[in-house]
Amino acid sequence: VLKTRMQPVANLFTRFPRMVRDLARQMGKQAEIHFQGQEVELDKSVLEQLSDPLTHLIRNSIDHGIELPDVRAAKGKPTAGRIVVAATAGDGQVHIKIKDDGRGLDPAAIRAKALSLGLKSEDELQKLSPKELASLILLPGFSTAAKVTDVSGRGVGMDVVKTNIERLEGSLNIDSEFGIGTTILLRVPLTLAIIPCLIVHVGRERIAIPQRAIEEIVCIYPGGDTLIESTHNAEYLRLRESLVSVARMNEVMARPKPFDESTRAEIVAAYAQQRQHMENLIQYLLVLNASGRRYGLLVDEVKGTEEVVVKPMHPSLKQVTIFSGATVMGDGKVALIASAEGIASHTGCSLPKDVPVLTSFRDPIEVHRVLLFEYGPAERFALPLIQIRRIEAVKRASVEYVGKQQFVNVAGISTRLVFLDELLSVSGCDLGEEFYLIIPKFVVEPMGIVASRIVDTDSMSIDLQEASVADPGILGTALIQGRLSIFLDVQFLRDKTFTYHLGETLQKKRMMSSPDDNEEIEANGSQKVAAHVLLIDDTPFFREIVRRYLESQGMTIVTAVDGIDGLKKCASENFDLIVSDIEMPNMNGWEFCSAVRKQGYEGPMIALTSLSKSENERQAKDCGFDTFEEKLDHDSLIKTVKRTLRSRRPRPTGSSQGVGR
Amino acid sequence: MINSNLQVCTFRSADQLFGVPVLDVKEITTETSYTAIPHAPHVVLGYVNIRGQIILALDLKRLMGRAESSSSEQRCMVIFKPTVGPLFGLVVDEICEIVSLRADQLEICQSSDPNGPNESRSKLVHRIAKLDGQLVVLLNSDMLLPFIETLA
Repeated sequence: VLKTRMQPVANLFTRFPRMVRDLARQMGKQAEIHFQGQEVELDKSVLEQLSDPLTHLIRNSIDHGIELPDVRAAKGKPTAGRIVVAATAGDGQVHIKIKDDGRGLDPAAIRAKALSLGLKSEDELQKLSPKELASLILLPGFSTAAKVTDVSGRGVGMDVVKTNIERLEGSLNIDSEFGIGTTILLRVPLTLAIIPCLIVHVGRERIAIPQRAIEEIVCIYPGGDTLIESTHNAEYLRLRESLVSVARMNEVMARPKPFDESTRAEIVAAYAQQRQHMENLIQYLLVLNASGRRYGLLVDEVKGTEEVVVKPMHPSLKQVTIFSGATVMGDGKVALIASAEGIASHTGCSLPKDVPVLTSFRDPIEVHRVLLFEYGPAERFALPLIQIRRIEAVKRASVEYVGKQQFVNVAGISTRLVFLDELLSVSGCDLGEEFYLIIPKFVVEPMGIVASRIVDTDSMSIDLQEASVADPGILGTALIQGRLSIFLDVQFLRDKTFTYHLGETLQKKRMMSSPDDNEEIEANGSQKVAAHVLLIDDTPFFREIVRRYLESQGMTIVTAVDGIDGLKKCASENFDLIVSDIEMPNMNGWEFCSAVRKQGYEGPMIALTSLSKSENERQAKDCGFDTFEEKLDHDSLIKTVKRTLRSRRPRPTGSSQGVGR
Repeated sequence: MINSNLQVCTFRSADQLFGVPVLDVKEITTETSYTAIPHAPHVVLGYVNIRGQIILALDLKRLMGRAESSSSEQRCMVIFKPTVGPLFGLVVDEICEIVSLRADQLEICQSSDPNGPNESRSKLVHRIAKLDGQLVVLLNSDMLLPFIETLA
């Protein structure tokens, strides 16, 4: 709505050239008018009310200001007078400057006139500054023109102009140099518009906040999942996937000095203590957008919305930046209108829009969803959801037998059943009429792990304990929902299940090997690769899995928990290959990669991630990674590792170690 | 004639009689319920709504650096004409009469006033008038707004 009300000042200016031409001709003068800033926009109603004062001022310029051509020539001025009307916009106001190069105001004439009207004594007049003297012409009945023309000089005029401008909540300023010209500066507000505001309470004060600045409102209450967190000198709210820094309106209002580090620290400390006592406090956080930067403003109460008539702040209160104006409310009281920009710069606490939650604000360990299930009565098993393709309910009757092996048809594929008690030393189970089949991801062969009961899924940070029983099929155990749960090594189960015919098919494939097949065989096969590998991952669970993957290929593994740890290990040892996770605390994979490349590491690097491949592949390459692999895709990972190592072989990494450093 | 006799509107604040030229005064009101303006100088009481116009209210007592009295007493506001400055008024304790002062009753106030406060504040007072045993401090109403702008 506001947009349509705004019109360029050009609409107003267009009528002036003709007026100037006509007037000049009438008086035998020469004048030209120039415009600047015609694109500056003003509210339509303001524009309309500006029309008369502007017309009057320009008329004055021609009549009183600009001299006759021969006088101008005698003074060395161009014969044609020049009037410049310039509009500029800034801080909610529009400035319009009307400048002419005429004779200017004659201080002596003004003094004489003031004296003759008995306005001031001679003493007083002597003390006035040129500016104050010039402002005398704004008084009613004050004209210094020697003769009255039908255009101007009748003494009604400047006072009317001033009143009109003041009615617009604007101001008028005269700057004149005798003999050189006069400049009149008009300041008018952009708009008299009515703007929709949200009315809030902070303590006992009522404040209006323009709705265009508000993105959303978050209610903060004890026990809610949106809570304010703090670092030593800043408070934040975690809002979905981004951080919003928090400014407390009561503190903003109480502190007239712009915030610095110590102010912020003081506030955080005060509220950290208070937080425990404020159990029942409900507050509202307004997420404000101040020209692209956003932050949250904490207020006590939200009262509702209202359309308010904006009045600018008093011109003598320039130091008040957190408010942009005031308005009269329905009850006759004045309410202040907050300035989103002003508060942002006062507190200095806004963040660019959409700052992602940084890893350092997270718990150091990634959170994963795991599936909990049972097979035998004694144990509980766990698998991360990321490792599972699907879960299928299976009827006992649909199981088919091929020798000792059992199969179930899942989506048209005969899927081999894997019974945990056959492969691991765990309790057995008499399956009921119906059971579940967990079909893992990243396994080429169709297989399904048999489960008697699906317990739950749970979000947790996988904090793996080394298995107390050294069972190769068990990655480790973790306490989940109060019970010890066993994390299975899917790769082991798969190898065990398919091991016997694998041997046979491998033989066959090798006989008629094509290069492509060869790779595949190597990935699955037992061909060992001797290499020293640095593995970086912050999650113990994934670290363990990937370590096993690689160790099974004959590589020696050194592990690190984050980028910083990795850099340290890189400095003290030489590696043939670095395999690194991306999302890690302290130093993530991207940063690590750039850093380690700078440190002089030239060997291959593989990024491991649970992120989607396509989005991050470019970034991986840019940072210096050779390739990019999905975390749990065993076959693909092994293949890539081997290919990467082989392609680097021509540059013998083993011997170059001595030369390189 | 204006030059010979000065009409002065007098008012009391903290037991001191003050005055401003009556021609500077637009109106006097008893409406003084104001909305405080955070970050504004101490001498600014706040905004007052006078028939839809928002007037900036200055506290004369705070302007003169006097201790604050209890706010229970009935206070008034002297609102100045736009020629003096845009939309502002002075909150005082009590309005007194309008007096006509002869030139010989006026004395120019020297800025080297011994117990005068700081330099910029002394600009607020430019003349003192003797009035049957009482002194009337004539305020320089033009200087009020420039003065608060100097207060950071």
